[in-house]
Amino acid sequence: MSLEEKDLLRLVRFGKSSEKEFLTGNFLGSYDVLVFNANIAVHNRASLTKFVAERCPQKSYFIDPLTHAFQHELVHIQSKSTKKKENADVSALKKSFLKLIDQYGSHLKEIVVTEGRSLRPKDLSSAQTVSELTKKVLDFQKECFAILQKKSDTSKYMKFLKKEGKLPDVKVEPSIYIAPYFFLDESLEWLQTNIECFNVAKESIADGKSAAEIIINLEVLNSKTLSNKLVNAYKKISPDWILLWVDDFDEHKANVETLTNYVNLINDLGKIGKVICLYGGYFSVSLSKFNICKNLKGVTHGMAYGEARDVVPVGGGIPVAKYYLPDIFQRLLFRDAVKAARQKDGFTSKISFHENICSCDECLKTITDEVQKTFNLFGITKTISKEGKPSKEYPTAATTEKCLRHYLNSKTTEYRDMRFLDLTSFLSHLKGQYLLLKSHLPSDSINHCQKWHETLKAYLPK
Amino acid sequence: MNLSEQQIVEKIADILASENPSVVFCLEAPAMGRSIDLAFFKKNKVVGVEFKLTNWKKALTQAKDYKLVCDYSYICLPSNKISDKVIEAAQEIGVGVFAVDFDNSWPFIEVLPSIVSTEKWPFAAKKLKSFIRAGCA
Repeated sequence: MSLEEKDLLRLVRFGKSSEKEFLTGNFLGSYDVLVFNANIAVHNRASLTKFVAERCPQKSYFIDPLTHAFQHELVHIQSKSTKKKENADVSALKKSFLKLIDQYGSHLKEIVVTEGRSLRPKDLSSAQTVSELTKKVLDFQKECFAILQKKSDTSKYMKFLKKEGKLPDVKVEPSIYIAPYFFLDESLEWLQTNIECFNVAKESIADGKSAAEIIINLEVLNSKTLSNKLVNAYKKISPDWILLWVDDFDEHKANVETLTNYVNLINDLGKIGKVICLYGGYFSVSLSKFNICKNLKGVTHGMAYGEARDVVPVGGGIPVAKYYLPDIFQRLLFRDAVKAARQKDGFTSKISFHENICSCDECLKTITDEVQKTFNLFGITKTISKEGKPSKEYPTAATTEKCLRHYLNSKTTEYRDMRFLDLTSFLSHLKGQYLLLKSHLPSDSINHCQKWHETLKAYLPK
Repeated sequence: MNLSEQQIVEKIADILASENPSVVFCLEAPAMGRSIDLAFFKKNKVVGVEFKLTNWKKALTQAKDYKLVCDYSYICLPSNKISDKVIEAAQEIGVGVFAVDFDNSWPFIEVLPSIVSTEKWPFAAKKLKSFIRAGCA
């Protein structure tokens, strides 16, 4: 299924099996595209095939091939227990990445598994090696969820449903295909490889479906020379879609200069192809909503933790339950959410909570006339004590789920509704929230409002 | 005093345990995402203390958060680090200031009293009380 020509696509990155229930049911219609990391796709192939085919048959998806994982120190894709070893023991590589290596061809396997080292640009300097890897990477994306579908019980079930007229005749294939790609630091040493891989890929990808993923570091983003070089290189290959990921870039922490460079880069890349931000929050969404970046066509988030991501480690991480405060587009530690809600007069009554804090389905269901007591349900923790170590608090499963549902509801509103009439009203809102909360929240929880304001005011109509 | 922060806290805990056996206290008490260096009961009110050797600004930030769960909140510094600037900043946010005193049975000198907190989040405050009473478990 091709990606719809929507003003702004909402993409959600699938992280782990337990997230499935949040991607179906009431939430199914709230997002447009599912993004799977290749290691997760290959490691959970059967269950995800069933998931995609049965529970999200109308949903667009694509697979991020994660080829960059093999250029970094192999320790980043080792299983936890062996990370302390000085030299990478290849048998200690995470099973999901070993499975992925098997998919991507003998040359990659020779280097990573036999030689026990990460890829270097010279490993992909010949046409043959580029061609082999590219073909394998594209084949994997195409067949990952299709092959099993043909052979498994899922296929019999699907045939039954089709016969009963209960399932449209839909082919399970990705909406776009991503050429092999590698992380670009200020040396840009992998740029030529990226270009060559894309050129090979383009020959076998249908029109409208070719995608180039660009991962860069902040040095590239903040250097006019380097970003121009990057843009000029991709201009020559004209991908239909450009997937952008900036390492160590968090919209909520970046300064005005970096945010401005981010906007400029999206606009420059937007002149080449349709741009999707692979990790982004409301700042990125607003760039599309207010026509600041006309060819920004999609922004991706994860399940309450995927609005920013460092390139390494590759995958993993433990999400912490936080309350997303819609008015400042930021997840807050519960103690800060309490302070903010107090300051915003959220606790006077149920009505004031829904007017001033949130009226999403989850909050409507949770908050009663005992406002504080029920708001506390977003912050319940269990204390774990281990001998010899300080006791720690962890959110309960119910808390985590509640915060997640609230977060997903909030994101739905952000993508779908025109909450702010125009850029002027959005900037006024940001300023107002900053002034209201700056004395009550830690600076790293509120300063983004001021920085976004400073950055975006340059785009006000003259 | 050439003790580390950790050593100061441990020494104070020793003094409390030996010289003030009626004081129920807890080290590293978890509360709303913070870990309170020292929390103890004083006349059924909870006092939270954040220790620092030098970084008083960070101490005040943390102690300010303790007001969500404690009745009284203090920072504790070596006496030679307690300047007018520290007092002024603490006063502004209603946090008290202790200096360390190892020479007496009560290990603190109250340089600035804490204002009683009106910011407590009752559910977390109750949980902290139970945690301290249960012997930090």
